[in-house]
Amino acid sequence: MTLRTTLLAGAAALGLAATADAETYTVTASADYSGPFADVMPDAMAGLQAVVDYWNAEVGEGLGVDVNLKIYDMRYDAAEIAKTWPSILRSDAPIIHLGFGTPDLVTLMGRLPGDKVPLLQGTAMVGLVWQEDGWHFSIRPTYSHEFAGLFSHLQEAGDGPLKIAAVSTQNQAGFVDQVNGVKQLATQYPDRYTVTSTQWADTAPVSLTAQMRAALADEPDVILVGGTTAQVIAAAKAMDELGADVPIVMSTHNGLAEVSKGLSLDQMEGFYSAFSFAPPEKEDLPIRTVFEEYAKAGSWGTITEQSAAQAILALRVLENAIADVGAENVDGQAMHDALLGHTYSEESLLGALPTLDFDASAPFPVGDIKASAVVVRDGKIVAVQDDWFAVPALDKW
Amino acid sequence: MITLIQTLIDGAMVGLVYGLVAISFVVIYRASKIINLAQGEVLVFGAFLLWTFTEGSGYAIPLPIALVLTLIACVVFGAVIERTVFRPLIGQSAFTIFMAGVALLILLRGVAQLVWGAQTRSAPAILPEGAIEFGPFLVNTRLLIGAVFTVCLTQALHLFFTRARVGLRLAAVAEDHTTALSLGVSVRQAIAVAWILGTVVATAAAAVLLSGSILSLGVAVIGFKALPVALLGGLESIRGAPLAGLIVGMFEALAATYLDPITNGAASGLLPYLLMIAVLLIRPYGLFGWQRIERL
Repeated sequence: MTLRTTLLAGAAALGLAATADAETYTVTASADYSGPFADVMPDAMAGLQAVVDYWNAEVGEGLGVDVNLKIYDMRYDAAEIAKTWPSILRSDAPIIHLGFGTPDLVTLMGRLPGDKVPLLQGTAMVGLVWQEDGWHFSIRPTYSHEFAGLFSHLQEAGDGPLKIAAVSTQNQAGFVDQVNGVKQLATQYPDRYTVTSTQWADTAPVSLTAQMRAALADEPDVILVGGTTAQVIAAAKAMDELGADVPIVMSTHNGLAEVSKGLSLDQMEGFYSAFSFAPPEKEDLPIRTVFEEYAKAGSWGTITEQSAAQAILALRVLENAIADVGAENVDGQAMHDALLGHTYSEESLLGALPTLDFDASAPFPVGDIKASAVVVRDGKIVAVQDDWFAVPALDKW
Repeated sequence: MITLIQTLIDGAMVGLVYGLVAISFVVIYRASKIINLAQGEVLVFGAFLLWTFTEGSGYAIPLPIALVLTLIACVVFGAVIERTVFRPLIGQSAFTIFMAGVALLILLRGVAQLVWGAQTRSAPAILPEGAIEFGPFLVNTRLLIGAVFTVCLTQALHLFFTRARVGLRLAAVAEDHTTALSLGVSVRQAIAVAWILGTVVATAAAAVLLSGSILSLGVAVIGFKALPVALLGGLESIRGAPLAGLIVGMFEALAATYLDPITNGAASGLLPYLLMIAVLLIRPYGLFGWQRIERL
């Protein structure tokens, strides 16, 4: 055996030993490849995977930890989640679960404290599950907080109270909750906001002309349509019929990119989408650079960034858990404690999220909550402003 | 007063779209005695076929040709459903047929996702957008054309079922399969024609409903909205479906305008169905359905 061969064999053995020593932790995630969000799921999961790959390569290796991301198709179905979760616990023993939407929340939130696995959602929270000492969290505050951030910005730019008309549906509790949160905003800040009316409609309405006629009678400054894409399109078409032109404010799941499949961007001029991660179009966004470098599939956009932001927070929590209990001792409890016990800076979150702080009082970031928004301007989707919006404090509703 | 009349106009326009979907239930039921639970999925399938021949083909196919191609595809689709799912079940119990309907619903949902994917897409703008002014009143152009189409289709189907030879055969089959067979009427052929008609009408409803909007798998929910309309009108009555649609649509609109503000949106969702239950309690066969007298 030559000296060179001996050295190579030694190096390989050391490498293998190092690999064998790396602690592997499983992070599980809910996907929806066959339900209502199937169309955006490849991009969403590409966002998660790219950030995990980045972390394993650039952070985990140095810490002696490897993260194994396992994705389960839960079909956005509570029954599927309830059926799958016990086997996930048994076979994967995840240190954290990355959830997607209300079915994950309502199915798992009751049992998570017993299972000792924290749930981290990428979708916004709802006031319905705003309770203390839970193990369910979101990277985002409630939808109503996110709308409140944009409304605050619009109100400050205008004169007098901002008049908000809402269009929603009674078919989904989460959508009703959005409206209730905005009503709470108007109740707490009557000098700044007025909810002029709420119009209730189907999730896929044949026409919204009657509802929009009633909503427009109060001359609102904005129309809040936080429910479905079909509702936004029907509301915009009804305004065309009625000769009105009032900006529509929507969320992310029914955001500008989705609505643009049914309306041209010219027809959506002045429409907003409110959320609380950085606008995907923002310049100099480090998480986008990470995605572009590590993504093997998918394209960058709102849902991709939402998932990427969810993953990076989970992995920063893991780093703190490793620092707190050691690389060999991380479990769900350590992740839960690390999430609540540390502050996560915007820089460490690669610009995807504002600086976040969690405590046991709420399932979403507390303290100075921030939000962001995009708008259609001159036929293009652009960030409303480079900085985050400050969200007015909201009492529980 | 203007608000009241405008509300009734809006409700009538929407109600006639419900009626159009309800007709597709009725034409199938009249011949086969099957309430097709998957009719919403059939509508979505038809909409995807329309999309395929208009925006999805990658070629600039002129609209009239695209519509003809869609019609042909619908005929084939309706015939395939009848031949593969329901014909083998002729003579089976109502529960078996009901479960086959549930299975068809799941199957069509899966096949649509497999073939076209789950992404939301723009639906072809078959009908013009905007509104027409009639004095102080405003009527949605798309829905107005849809309403006129519904009325014309209803009359045409009524004439077909009461005057045309094939239609009369369908009526005989609707009366009783055994009697129809004894009179030399081909029950299989009649049921196949009914399924093809049901598929074509559902696709026409999709064109009116989705014109210029978005197409997604979730649109199928309109089927469950239209089923109570068909029940209210009477499952055998072609002309009952649009009339029931008018009633449901107008009650829904009135409730949305006058009761929703004080019931937090509950009234418009509830009232049409309360009305339907009230009518069915008095007339279990619907407003215009066939009254069957059974002697013990």
